[in-house]
Amino acid sequence: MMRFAFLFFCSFVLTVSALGLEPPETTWRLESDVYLSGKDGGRLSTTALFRPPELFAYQELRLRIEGKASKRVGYHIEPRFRLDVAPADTFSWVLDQGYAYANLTPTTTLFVGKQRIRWGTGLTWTPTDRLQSAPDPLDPTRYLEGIEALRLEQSWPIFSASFVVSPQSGLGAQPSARQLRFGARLYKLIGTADVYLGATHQSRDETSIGFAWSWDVGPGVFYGEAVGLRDRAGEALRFHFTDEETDIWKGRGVVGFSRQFRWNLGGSIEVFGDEWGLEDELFRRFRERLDRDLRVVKGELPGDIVAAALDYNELLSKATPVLGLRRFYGAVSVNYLWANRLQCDAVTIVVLEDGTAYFYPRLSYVAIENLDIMLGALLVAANDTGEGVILPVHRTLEFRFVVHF
Amino acid sequence: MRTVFSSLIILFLVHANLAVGAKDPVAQSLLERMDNALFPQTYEMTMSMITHKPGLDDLNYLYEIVGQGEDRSLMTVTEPARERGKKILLSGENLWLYVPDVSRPIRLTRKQSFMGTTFSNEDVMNSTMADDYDAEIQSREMRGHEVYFRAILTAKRPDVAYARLEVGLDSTSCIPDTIVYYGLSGKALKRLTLSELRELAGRMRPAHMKMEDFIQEGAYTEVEILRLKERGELPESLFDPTQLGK
Repeated sequence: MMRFAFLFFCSFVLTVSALGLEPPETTWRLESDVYLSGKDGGRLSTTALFRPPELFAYQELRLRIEGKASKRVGYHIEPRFRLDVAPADTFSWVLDQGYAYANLTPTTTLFVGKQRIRWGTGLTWTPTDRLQSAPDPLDPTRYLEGIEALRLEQSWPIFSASFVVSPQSGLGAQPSARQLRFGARLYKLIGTADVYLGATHQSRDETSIGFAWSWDVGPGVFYGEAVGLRDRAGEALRFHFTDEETDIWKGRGVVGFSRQFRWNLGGSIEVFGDEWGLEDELFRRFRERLDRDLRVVKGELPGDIVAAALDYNELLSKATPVLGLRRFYGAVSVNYLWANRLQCDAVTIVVLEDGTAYFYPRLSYVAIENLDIMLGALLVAANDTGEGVILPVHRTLEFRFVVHF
Repeated sequence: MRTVFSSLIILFLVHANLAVGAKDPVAQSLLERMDNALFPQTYEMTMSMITHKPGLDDLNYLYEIVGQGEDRSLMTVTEPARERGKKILLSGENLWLYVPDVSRPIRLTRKQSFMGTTFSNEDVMNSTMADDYDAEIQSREMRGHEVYFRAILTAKRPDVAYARLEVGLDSTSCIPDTIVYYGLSGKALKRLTLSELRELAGRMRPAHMKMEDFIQEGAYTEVEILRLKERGELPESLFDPTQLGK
């Protein structure tokens, strides 16, 4: 892997030099991160199935290289190198983005390669964003790996259009199950409102049709999204606990309002609804099955131990909002900048049906011009029947140094 | 001689308009010329912005900007490194922020402060005063061979950022040297001072601006235009919020 990364960069530098191209603008970001995770005692024992090691430590270097090969052609490369120190000593790298673009006409741009294609207007949840893997709702600014795609952007005075073809597999799909995924989106600016209409299609997996808006109403921005999803594969979590027919349409949506109260104080409030989530009865069945499978793993009940464990990893990998098990969530976020040095952010997500609350406060201190020191915590409050009780961790304390250059 | 002659004609016209007390076409014409005097029709520029607020560390930003017409510009942060790659797109009454890690445009409101400076987003967006304000000459005086005007600008509509502006400018260059911004209560909120006339993009333009905030005593933002170049036609896609990722 290391050799591949080295070859990749040598090739890039040689190509830029050989073609006599203008040197690209490069931004480096070196991040050292340590976090401790733990769980309250006395909670549902099933979570032991997913219990992670308690200490993680890694260093991550991210580069963003942007340049132009000519007036009309440009490129963007964003590799990320990671050295894990704990629990295991491993090196890995991922190419978050690596694409070239060409301005075919003054109004048409073609993008080819691995790229982030983020749709939607929600700040915590973006249900219309069906091409890209979903960001962590507690920290949506964390890096996302792009998808391989061919994208055509067309800007007309009346509206803009985006067309995407991607060979990327769907969320949770095996690489062997790769298939073409198509997306199209129209964008129209109406007064001070952005209006989007979009659709995605993957023949064996899912089809989605949705719309989104983001409207500057003066005191703040009112935004929302709604999407209809057709799950052909019948892999949604709910199908494991109900006899209802698969290959059906169900909706998912979000509505929110963001406001900047002062130059250094802002916030947002958002409500998310998901027909694909589990109602109280289905969630009870889910927990019962989880508990039973754990007893299989522990040897207290007969059964296939490997199947029991793998089954849940697969199921939970498909969930999107936090664990994404329930139907209604609310989120409140606040950000405050003190003395131009200390950035305070706090996100709270509440499962409206059972009261589980996820609280993610974070302090970022600008120590010197290019160095940030960050302290964050994830706290989960849940009762014995809530979504939070099955989380692998209930408390995480994170300490991070970030150097920008 | 030609300048003196022009100034006398303007003085005469101003007197005529003040006498009848009607909407002031000379002042309005000066306002339109002022709008066109600061930047070319299409341009690219490098601009530094330093914000000082008492008790706080200074905020230093360096921007690369491309602009078209009176109300479209794309600003890309190049310094500091932690903010590099952020883009701010202004188009009419709309404003978006693009953060590379988020990879999609986030809409901002017009009312909020521009990147923590003493400018509001509306100050930055509203480059055409003639569309939003009715102008009236308040006073004039001869400064050398030029007539120096003080004009009062009154908002045409209630949704305009400031109820009233007081502008000082000379009739030849039509470049203002001060603009004082007033709120609905009649209280002065901010003062913009323009100075250091230099040849930029083929004509004399102010290279330095200072926006003082009267509400937060001692707070100000200084803008330095380091480079300004006239551009040919800019592609439409440059000002499309869905294409900020390139």
